[in-house]
Amino acid sequence: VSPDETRVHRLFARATRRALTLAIVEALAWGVAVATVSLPAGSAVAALVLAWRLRRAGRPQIVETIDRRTGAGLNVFVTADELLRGSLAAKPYVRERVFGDAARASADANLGSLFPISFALTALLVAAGAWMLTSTTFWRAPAARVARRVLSASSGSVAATGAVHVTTTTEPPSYTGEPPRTAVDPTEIAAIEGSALTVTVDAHSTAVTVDHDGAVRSLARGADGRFVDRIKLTRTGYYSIETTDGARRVTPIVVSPDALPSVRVSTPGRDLVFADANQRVAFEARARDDFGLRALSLHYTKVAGSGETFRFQEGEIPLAIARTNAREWRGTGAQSLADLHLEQGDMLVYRALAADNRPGAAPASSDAFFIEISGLAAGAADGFTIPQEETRYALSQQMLVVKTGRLDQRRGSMAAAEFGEAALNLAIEQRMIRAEFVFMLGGEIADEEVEAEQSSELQEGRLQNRGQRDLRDATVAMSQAEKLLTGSSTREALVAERAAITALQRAFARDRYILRALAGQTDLDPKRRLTGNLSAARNWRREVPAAQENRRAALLQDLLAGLGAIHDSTRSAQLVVLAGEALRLDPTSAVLRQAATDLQRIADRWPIAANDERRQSVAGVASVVARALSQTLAAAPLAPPFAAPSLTGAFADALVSRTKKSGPGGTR
Amino acid sequence: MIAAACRGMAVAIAIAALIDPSFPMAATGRARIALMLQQPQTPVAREAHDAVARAVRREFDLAPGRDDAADALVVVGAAYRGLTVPERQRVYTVTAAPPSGEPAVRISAVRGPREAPPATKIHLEVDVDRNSAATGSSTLVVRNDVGVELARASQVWSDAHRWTASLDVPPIGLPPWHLRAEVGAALGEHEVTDNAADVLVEGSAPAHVLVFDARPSWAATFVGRALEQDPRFAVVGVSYPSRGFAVTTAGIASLSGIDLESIRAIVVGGLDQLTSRDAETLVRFMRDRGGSVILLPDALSDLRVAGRWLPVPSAAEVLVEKPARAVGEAPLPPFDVSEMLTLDASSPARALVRTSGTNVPLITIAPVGDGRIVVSGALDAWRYRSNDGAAFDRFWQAIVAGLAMSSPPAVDVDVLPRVAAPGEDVQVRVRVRRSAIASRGTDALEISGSMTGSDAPIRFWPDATPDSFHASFVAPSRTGALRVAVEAAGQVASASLAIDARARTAAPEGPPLSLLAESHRGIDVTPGRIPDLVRRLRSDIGAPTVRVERRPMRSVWWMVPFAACLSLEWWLRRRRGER
Repeated sequence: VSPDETRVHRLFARATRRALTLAIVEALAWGVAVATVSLPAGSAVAALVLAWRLRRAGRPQIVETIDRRTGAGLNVFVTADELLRGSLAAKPYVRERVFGDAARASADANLGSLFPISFALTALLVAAGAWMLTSTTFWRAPAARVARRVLSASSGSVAATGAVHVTTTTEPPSYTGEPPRTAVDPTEIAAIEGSALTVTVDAHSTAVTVDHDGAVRSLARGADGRFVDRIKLTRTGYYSIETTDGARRVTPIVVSPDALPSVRVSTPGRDLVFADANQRVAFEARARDDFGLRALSLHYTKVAGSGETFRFQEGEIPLAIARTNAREWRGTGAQSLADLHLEQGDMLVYRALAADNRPGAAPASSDAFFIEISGLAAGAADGFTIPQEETRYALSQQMLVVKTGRLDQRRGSMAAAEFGEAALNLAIEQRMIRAEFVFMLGGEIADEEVEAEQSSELQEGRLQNRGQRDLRDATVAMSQAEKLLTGSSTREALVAERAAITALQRAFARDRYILRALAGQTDLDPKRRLTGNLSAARNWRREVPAAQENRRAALLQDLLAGLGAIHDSTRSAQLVVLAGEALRLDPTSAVLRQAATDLQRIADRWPIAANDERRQSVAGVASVVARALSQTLAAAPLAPPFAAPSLTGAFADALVSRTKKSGPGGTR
Repeated sequence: MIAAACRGMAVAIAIAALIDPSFPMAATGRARIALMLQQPQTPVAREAHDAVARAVRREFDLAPGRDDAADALVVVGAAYRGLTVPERQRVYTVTAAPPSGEPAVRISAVRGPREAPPATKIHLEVDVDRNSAATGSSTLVVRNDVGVELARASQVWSDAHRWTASLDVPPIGLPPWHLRAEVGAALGEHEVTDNAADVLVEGSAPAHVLVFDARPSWAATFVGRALEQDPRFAVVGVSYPSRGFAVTTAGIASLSGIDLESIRAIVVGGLDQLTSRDAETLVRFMRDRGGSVILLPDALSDLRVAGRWLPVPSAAEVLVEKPARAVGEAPLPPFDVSEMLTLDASSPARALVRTSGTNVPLITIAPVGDGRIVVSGALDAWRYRSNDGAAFDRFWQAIVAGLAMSSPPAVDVDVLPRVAAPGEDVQVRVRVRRSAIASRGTDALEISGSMTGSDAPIRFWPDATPDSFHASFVAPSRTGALRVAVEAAGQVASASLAIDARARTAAPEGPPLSLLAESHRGIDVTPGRIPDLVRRLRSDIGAPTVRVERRPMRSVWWMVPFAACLSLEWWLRRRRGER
């Protein structure tokens, strides 16, 4: 074999390999591209393309291509191929001449241009593109990141049409001394009551409409191209912005009221009973406020008289104020009771008042205590029957604690019998005190009218109701103490007695019952009693007030229905509308505020969020609103108690008739 | 001669064609096979159903669905679902169940009310079963028909194979409320068709309740007020503050003057002033109307007075210094009470509320005829009515609402399942209360039914229970909400039915489907052995000999001799020179 023949043979072999490889690659690439739609279709396309390309990758076709494209002409490669395959016989010199010409021509043959890779490359690019388009997981997240970056970079100048950005400046009331706060696109605006809120809106639209707690108005564009609104914050609510190009933003506003000052009388800080008015009492009051105090004073009410005719006289005891700082004050003072002209049986009720810097704010009041002037040093005088002991706190659980404590300390120095006798006396005393409280609770009341008056107190508020409960707790603790004292267990009795005091202090803490026994026989005022003429009694038709529909539940149901109607093609503005609906429903509800904030956040992300993320986010908000709705709805009715009423009824009848037959012992 | 014969033959053919005589004769027919696909329609079951249909159609007439007149019935499903088949009919089954070793959780039952008042939670109890291969935890979610999650509960599986989840579901939108309970698939579970179940709850109108105070009593007054401020009730009140004087809300003079048919529950206070006539009315209300009576005594003596005429339990008076907690069955809220009557809750009564800790019955319920009587021993619970967010009010609202809903209407219509897939069998059950329609026990009851969007009437059949009827029909293919209306003796009642292609009905696992085949002389095969089933059908179900009616003159081939006779006759005449 001549070198020329070898060279030509190699050319043919390389060309065939290349053509085959490119055909396979191109077929596979098209198949992969179509497989994005359907795998069977992809396989079919790959097979078809391969079959089509292989028709042109046969040896004769390849040789013909080389012959045509290299410019050798005259079928020199075709002849060489026939000679190589033995299909053509030729004399040696002719053969040598043909292979020589072919070898020379093959030097110019460039397989890259003869069998270009461009077709296979195009197919590969198409396949890659198709897979990139369908496999969103590869590119969506980076694309979203890029989009966010672009959006945030352009936020300063409101690059995107339809976007609305808000800058809020909250200026607390001047008396608080708090600095202003600025936020950009806040999810929630928190402020002190009376703060001034400045809202600056950056938007491309021609006009902006704002809605603050239902008050809707349009804003005009300012000289700097922005829309500015100023409002005073007085209550928790919402602030909604809508532009003419459809952009919306809803922001919850949480307004915290300026808390009332906390004030208490630390000295004496308890009720006092004096035998006469020749006393001088020292007072101390302490007050604290969250932003600063303006005043602290001690006020009294002198109560004179008895029965149903009392006289009241108001006054103030001067205090020397010591300021620890602007928020914490202490006031001290002293008052001679004689100067107040208190007489036997009179009473002085005193309380401290503190005011903060809020303009027009009412002062806060401490618990009230009283000082009573009683000759026997017994506050209830003839209203109670206790051993006549000259003790200041004759009628008080506190005194019993003192006595029990003293007795307990003397336990070692006393004979057992003597100690037992003393403990028993204290038990009797405890029982008497308890009896008075039980009487006060109305334990034996049979009169319905009196009962009605008592029940109205329960209706008036939880405070009174709690007071009754505390009084009841006190009597229970007193019973326990009595039992322990009877058994000479003074140490354990002390615990129960102190528990009774704690309960009594709770009961009398604020809305105090002022207990005064009648000093003597007093005429009752019949106009103050429930009386009437029975002859005028007749049938009466009572009008039943219309029951209130559960409006909150209906609104929450509407909100949930709106959330349920959201789908992938919903516009983000619809989400903001729902956020506004949640806030309008109850801006004071933390759950609904959070739902509104979440909806606004979802709306912001809506254009770039994947469908799964959209669905999950909305479902999360719906789940929270559903829980809030569940709390608003009435409890489910009792399930039917008997599965087959007729059968159970017949069974019950049979049981009853059998019981009757068997004689007495029935349920009635 | 020939021409005449031809003419006569043509005339004979024409006359015979006009007469069109029929000839009955015996022939070999095709057997009819009914093919039924049970719910739930799993993919495996659907494939098996289609394969059977393809194989059977070649040799038999195929009737889709249930057909009692068919020669045989082939049922494709996972388990026996209580299908009743005529004794004479052969049944063949294809059991298409997941492999026994595959983890599986399923909803086997959903218990919920048929109706619920608006703005009220719907209490559902869902039984979730698992097999031994399913471990870990399961989460149950209840959604509405548009997929909003309304309630959720979770369970970590230990030894138990059944979990009963109690959920209070807030309804959204207008009734009827279509709810769907879904339990998440266990790890490795592939067949999830039975992991969901649908429920349809109708809205109910305000319940009419009568508050009857024989004398003013705190208990009845405050229970009445709790009901009056709830829009779910329409309350009528009668109270007698003094002899001969009544305070009413609807101009009613006495208990006997009230149309008890419109009332669903009666709250009775001031029992010591109850008269025998009042008691007689109450008993009639319970026995004939099926209503509920709630007795609220103020003291033991009150209960003793009521006990002269009404079936009340024995009681003992208890007074505690500190209020005790009274705890009721879910969903009743607990409340406080210090003065109480402890009641005897032995059968047939049962305790609805007990004291916390001591577990003593405080409120009992007992059946009386078709109705029920509730006795409250919580004497001074009204004193603590503002505690715990008005728990007293909520308690009585929940209990009276439940009792009112237990009182049956004049015509009670129930549809099963309430959410059906197109083509699914739907059962309708009707119960008529004769006392409400002024009909004597011997009078015949006329009952008719129809469905919205369909002209076809629903045919009812009497049940074994008197005045009860049932009917069944195939759910239409059109999805959406429908109403099944029933008229009985002039009274019209209706029930809702939802048609949903994804409908799932909770059903217990039940006995194997093969039992149905064994008891009806058939065989049970797996989806892979359908050729065996077809072979067996071929051998068991022979082609029937049928009497057929033949009408030979209807054959078009008679035209040939008819035309030939006329042509020959014409040709012969022409040949003879005749016209």
